[in-house]
Amino acid sequence: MLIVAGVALTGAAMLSGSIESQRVRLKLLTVTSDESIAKNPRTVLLQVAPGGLRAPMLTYLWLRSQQLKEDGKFFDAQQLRDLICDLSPHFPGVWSFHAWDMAWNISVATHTPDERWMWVSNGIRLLRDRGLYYNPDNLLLYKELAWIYFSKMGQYTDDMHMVYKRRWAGEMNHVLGAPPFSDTPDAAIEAFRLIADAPKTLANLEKDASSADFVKRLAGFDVKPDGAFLNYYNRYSGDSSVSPPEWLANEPSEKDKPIAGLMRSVELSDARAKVLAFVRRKVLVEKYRMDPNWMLELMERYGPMDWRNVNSHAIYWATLGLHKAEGKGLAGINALNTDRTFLGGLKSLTRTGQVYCTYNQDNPEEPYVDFLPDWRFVEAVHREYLKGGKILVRKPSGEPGDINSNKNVLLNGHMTYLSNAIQQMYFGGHEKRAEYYYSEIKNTLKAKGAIYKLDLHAFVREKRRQAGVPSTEMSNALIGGALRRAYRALAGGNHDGYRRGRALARRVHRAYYKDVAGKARFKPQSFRKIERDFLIRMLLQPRAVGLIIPLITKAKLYNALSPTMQQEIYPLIAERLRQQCQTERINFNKAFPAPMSVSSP
Amino acid sequence: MRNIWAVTRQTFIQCLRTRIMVVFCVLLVVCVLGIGFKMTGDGTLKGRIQTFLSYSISLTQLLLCLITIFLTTGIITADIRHKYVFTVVSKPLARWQYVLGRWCGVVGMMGLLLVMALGSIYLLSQHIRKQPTRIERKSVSSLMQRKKMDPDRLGVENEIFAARETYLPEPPNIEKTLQQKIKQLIEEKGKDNLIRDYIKKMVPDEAKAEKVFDHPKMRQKAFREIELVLREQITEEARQAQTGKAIGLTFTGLKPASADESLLQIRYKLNPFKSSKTTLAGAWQIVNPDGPTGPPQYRSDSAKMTSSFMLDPRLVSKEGRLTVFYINLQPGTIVKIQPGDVVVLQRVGSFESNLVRAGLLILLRLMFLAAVSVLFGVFLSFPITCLAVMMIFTTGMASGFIQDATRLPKKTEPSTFEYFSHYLVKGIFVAVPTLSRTSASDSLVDGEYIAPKTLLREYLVTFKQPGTDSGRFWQTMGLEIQAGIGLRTLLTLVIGWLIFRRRELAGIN
Repeated sequence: MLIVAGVALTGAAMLSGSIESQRVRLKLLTVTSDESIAKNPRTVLLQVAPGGLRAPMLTYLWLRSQQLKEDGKFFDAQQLRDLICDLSPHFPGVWSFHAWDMAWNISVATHTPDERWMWVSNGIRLLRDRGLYYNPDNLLLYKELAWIYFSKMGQYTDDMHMVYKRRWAGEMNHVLGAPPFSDTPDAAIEAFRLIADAPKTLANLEKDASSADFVKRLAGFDVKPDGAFLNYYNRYSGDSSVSPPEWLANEPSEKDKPIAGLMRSVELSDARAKVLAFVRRKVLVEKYRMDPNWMLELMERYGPMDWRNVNSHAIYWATLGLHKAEGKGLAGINALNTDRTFLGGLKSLTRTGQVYCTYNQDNPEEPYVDFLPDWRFVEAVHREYLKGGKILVRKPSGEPGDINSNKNVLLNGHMTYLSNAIQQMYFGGHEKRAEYYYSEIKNTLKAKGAIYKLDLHAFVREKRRQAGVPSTEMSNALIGGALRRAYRALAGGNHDGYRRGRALARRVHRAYYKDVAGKARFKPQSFRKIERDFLIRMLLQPRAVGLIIPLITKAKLYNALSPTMQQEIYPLIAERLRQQCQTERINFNKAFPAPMSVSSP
Repeated sequence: MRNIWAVTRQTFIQCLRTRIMVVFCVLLVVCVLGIGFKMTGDGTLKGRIQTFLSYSISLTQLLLCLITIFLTTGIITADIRHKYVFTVVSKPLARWQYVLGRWCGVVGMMGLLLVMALGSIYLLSQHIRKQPTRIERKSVSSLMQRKKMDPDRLGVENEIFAARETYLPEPPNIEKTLQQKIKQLIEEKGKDNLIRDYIKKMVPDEAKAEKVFDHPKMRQKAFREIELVLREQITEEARQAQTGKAIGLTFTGLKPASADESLLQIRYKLNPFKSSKTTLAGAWQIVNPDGPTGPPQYRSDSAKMTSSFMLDPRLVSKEGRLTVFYINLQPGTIVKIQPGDVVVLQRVGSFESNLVRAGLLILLRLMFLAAVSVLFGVFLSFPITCLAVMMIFTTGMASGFIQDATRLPKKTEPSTFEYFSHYLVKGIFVAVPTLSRTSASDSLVDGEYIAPKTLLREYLVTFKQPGTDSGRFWQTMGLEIQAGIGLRTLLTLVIGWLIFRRRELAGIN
């Protein structure tokens, strides 16, 4: 027996070397033992300590987790799932299943927004923070993660999809703030470049004397350059991209006054900007496990993604998965190798790419969010459709084929997409762009049918007539377009035009509201709120609604508004407009007089 | 009695001196404290307390069971192996007194440990209860108003720190519909034709069917069967709701509302009928003939998963009735509610009294394991006794799973292996009690009342109507009797004593 044991031991010892090298070659060993023990001792212990009982333990835990789920008991769901994953960390299917189970199944079995969001974010965190740590090259996990962002959070199937969108926008707004808006993507990309190019370590940051001095000043208040810095910055800096107007009027408490001064100091603005970029990078990398350089690459290639939009994250994880798992660069990634996530995400960005967050006093974690179409992504989608189509029709010899042939299964989707985008651009005040893509449908895609022989205006009218009640995004575009016409007319003193435009917007809203009655997840906000938010955007960010409005015209528009509307919007626009007036040396109080209280005599 | 007390006291002291006891006690303290401070559950305060209670009570029970097995087995087998027993049995002490004294000593020790462990769990749970919920942590001006509506706090106070009785709905009253249906069928076909058609369906051979029909008693029997089939059919229909239709459920025997009443809870599971829908839209309407009628609760629920919501206790009528309607709002889907899928939970006692009863349930298991250890210990060696008792313990704890896994299939003809495993398991559970039948930790986690009758059932005996799973013997008897764990403990001790009495302790060479 001793001889047999000896032979067996020797055999095992001889095999262990080749098994180890196979593990490395097949990428089964993704985390070194030392690193794993240091970072996750519990996981290492759980893999070793149960010995032969690991499999029965897993079976028991799996049965218990499913039984508790069926019984509607979720108190232990996350810990059980963590334990199951810790027992089999290199098995991607386990991570993928449990993340999906939490984000899709358990979440819909709960009934409050807090609970729903908790389970969806638990699913995300399980994959992003833990699953991908052990399986960084596994495409399945990236795909599942991207799908949660795209389908669960980005689409409309879940009753509480707006809760997810709002919570996510709130989180990202806290980290990155609103990107600057311009007709071209450059401003947003350049703003993000500061974050991507920021020093990766504190030591590197402190090589810059002004940054080191700022970090030292922060240390004086016991604040480190991390998430804590962001809290103070967002609260006291007065940076309009992160601070809601409500906060600007608030005076800091006595205790916070010195640090508020540091956040507002004009002399230290350069150093503060460098530290801010460093902190934002750090939070993105450490908390959200994202690579700012890949984010920047995506923005340069596809457009000025607003990271407060869940679709941007769907695209990020879908493409990063292909990059990590198959070594593909962005140039090699196309709509055909990412299921629907990548192209779907890009298309969603054209419909909902502009994000506007409004502070929610009752629940600051869940700001009010408006999504408007963003025509800057139309070109990227058009390009990707063409790219995919060309691959589909390519001949076996490698020669290019006819993109309009039957082989191009993307063609119909491409034309439908462009038709909708044209309508949105048309109503959004971008007629030239709409004209360009209409010519693309006719010339490049060679669309057939009488409707394509019409001119742009007639084409849009006919399409609207055929479609009947507009979809969610289309109704947003129509309402936005009508309000744009109405308030442009009002600013120019054309009251008839204002009344006509506003009446049209109301009609579209009413028709859409009636159409989605009973479907809570599609229910739009009240017309009054939509109108109010539109006005605020028009006065503060006119480019976002396709306009360039001088300050004097803004004042004319403001003074032409009804007293009740003035009273509603004044607290939200006053501080920003006051700053603009100071820059242009205009008397703010005369240009934008405070409204009389409606209720006061 | 003095003799038993002497052995008991001696055993108690002996238990205190063993090293294994110290090891397990340290383990118990570390586990309970570790779970209390480390486990966070699903992130809510309610989830944290539920996780703490679930793990700490389960672990306490497991550790105490293991100590019981090792201690009892160790003491009894060591007595015989090292011949300490000679010094005891040579005294004027009957062998049954020795067996009972040893058993009482270990059970007493375990009882003390159990009280200490449950006491610590209680104190820790109260400490966690005082922690703020997520909403309470937020410094908002309307904090007090939010506190009243905070679902997490409501859950903690109404669902955990309470002992709630579970009420099942009354069976649907279908008598009137049944009589109408029978009358209609008789009018349409005539009673004789109705019976003839039924017999023909049952007996395909026409000649034989006619013979059966000619027999008046068989005709009566067939008519009763027709009635039974119709009754089942109408009952099934009453449990289904088509889109836009409602299912009415009446709960009786509830406590009428008083001023400071805790909230009621409705717990339900919806089943889509012949549909693969995973989410079901519906509404619940509560009707109280004496007072306010609650607004309809519009909900979207996952199919085949348990959901719940809270109810105003004032919706219970003065007679203790609660009428609930489920309205199916899912287009194109029939929703079915099986008996037992909807229950109402109402507070009838305190968490503390429930904890005491949970302790008694755990103690019962320890008493049984101590008795089994005594039984095997008096004639087997330490390792074999441990193995045997552990087998019985694990089988008893996994009884629910084992019985489910070996249940005979209903839709297909069972194979020989399935018959064999089913009856083998049935045979095993005649001797081995189902230790998982009433779970102390599950009851405390869900705030479910452990009724005195449950304790009686577990300690003594259960009488129940034989079901389809019951054997032919019980079906013939018309009443099924199941011995409780307490009774089995007594029986085990008696057998242990009988074996020990006949055992020759000192062999003659």
